[in-house]
Amino acid sequence: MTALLSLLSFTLPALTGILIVHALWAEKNNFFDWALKLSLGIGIGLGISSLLYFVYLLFFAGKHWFLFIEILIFVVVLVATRKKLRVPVPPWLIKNQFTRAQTWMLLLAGIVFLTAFLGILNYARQRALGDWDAWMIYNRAARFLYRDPTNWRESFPQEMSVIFHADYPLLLASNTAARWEVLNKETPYVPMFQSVLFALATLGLIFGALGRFKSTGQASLSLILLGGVPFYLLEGGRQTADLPLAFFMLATVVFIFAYHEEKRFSLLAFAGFTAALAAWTKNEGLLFLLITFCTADFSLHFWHKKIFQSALPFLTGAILPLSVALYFKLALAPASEFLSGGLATILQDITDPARHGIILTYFKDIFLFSNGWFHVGILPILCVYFLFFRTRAKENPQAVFIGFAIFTLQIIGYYAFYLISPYELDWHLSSSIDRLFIHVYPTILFVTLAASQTPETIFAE
Amino acid sequence: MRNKILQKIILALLVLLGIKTGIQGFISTINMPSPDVSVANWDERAAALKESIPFERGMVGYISDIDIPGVEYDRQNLVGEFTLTQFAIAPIVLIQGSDDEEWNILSLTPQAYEIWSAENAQNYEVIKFGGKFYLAHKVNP
Repeated sequence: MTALLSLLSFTLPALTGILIVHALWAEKNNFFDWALKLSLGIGIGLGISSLLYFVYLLFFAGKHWFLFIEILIFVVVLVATRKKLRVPVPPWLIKNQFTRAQTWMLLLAGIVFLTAFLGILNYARQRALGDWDAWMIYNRAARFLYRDPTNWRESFPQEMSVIFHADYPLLLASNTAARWEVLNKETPYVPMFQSVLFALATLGLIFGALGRFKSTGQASLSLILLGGVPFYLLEGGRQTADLPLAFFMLATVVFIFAYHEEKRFSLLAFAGFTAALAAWTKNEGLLFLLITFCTADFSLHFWHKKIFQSALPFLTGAILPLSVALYFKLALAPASEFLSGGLATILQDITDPARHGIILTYFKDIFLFSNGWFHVGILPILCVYFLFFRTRAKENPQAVFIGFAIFTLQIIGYYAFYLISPYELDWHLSSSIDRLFIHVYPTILFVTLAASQTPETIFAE
Repeated sequence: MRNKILQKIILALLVLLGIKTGIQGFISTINMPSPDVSVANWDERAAALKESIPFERGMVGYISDIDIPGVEYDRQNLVGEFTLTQFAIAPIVLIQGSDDEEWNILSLTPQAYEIWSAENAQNYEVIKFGGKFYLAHKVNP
């Protein structure tokens, strides 16, 4: 019963998010559009709910009205988007003309999706309390918020051991505490379902987006190459913030692609919103937000000289989650360990060739040899795939360039952070580098497949 | 033409490998060991201890074998126990390596407790809990 109620507690935020995204693309109602809207809606809804609970704590800590506020927000969104809801075509009534090859690809992708889904559920069920980092960082933080909400501001003391990372942003913890508040019960099912929802939403997002931008075959291939890589189903059940961060990074790039296709500034606002939600999910998301803003904006400026036109909607979308994230960072969170060594130490670290050597060795292992087949990593496989399959027709080259630039700069940023890491470098790399791979992989896969020929083209002759 | 055939082979291989790994991954989760029991047990034991601390939020000292000179210990295990205890007694904050707070949790093996007790017993009221747990209330500041 608790499990069912925990799952149901996600209904309102998920529906709110789905309504908002549906309003954005109300006229788009085919199979892939719905996969895209449901996935984006779930992730965005969970993000909104987390922000809402944080703001609620600021003003009404210790009160028990949060459910009513969620209902109110849902009703407001429903009323605001009601005109868009008058498109009465459910997805199952839309005829999709799939060729025989496409049907086969969908079927094979369905097998991978099913095994990934069952595997994620299995993993989540057997690790109901989450993996080490999950209970130590995110579920612990949720307990700090939920168990004494009146004094929640004292949940981030400087005295707390740095291993608990009290400075980490609160998207997951805040959402978990919000669901517990709604249920009036602290149950491990909440973070468990949250993790599973993000894992499924990421799969749905890449599938829906590539189905929309490219083809059925490409969408199916993305499911196979995401759900079928070894790390995915384990990550889906771990309850850590890495897959949610990957979701928001992918969502941002998808919105940027959509913007370049449809030229609607509202899409850039959504890109800003999801990029800022990434910053509210993990510290690495702050770097991503900065990179995305600079990259997306610079490229628009470079090509079209419309810097303010693009910066404004992006920043408008980012403003709420970014304000919350910055307020948390500046007013509540303890100081981050990074930069704690002072300028002299940082300069020494940056110029130390031994540190570069250690980091490069780990980067080589993770990016060249991990998560693939026959001792070849999935990224070199994707590189070869891109070289063999890249599309000659210039489809959306600007968005592809931005996508490549974003994840490349993100990886360079990670390299720089390791360089100035205050921790013992070997330990820091070995305990975290695989997670950095998870952040960028869905985006790399999406951009690579968006820039490549589709299976339909390849098997056309 | 040769390029086209190669493309078809690569694509088919990728699809097959993806499916194979997906199925293997699913099978590997069926009988995987679960650490939940140990986390839940620790949670239960530490929760009992939390009930004896007379405040909901605040600082509590935490001493383990690491902090007792001359006692052998497994660092990784003890760090794990410390994180589990912090998780369990949230929103109380544990100050690792300190018994200077008014309330202090001791997670000590019998040998370590004997050493600690010989030096500190006169300054604390100590309540014994299950496992390695003691709650030490400082009476002589």
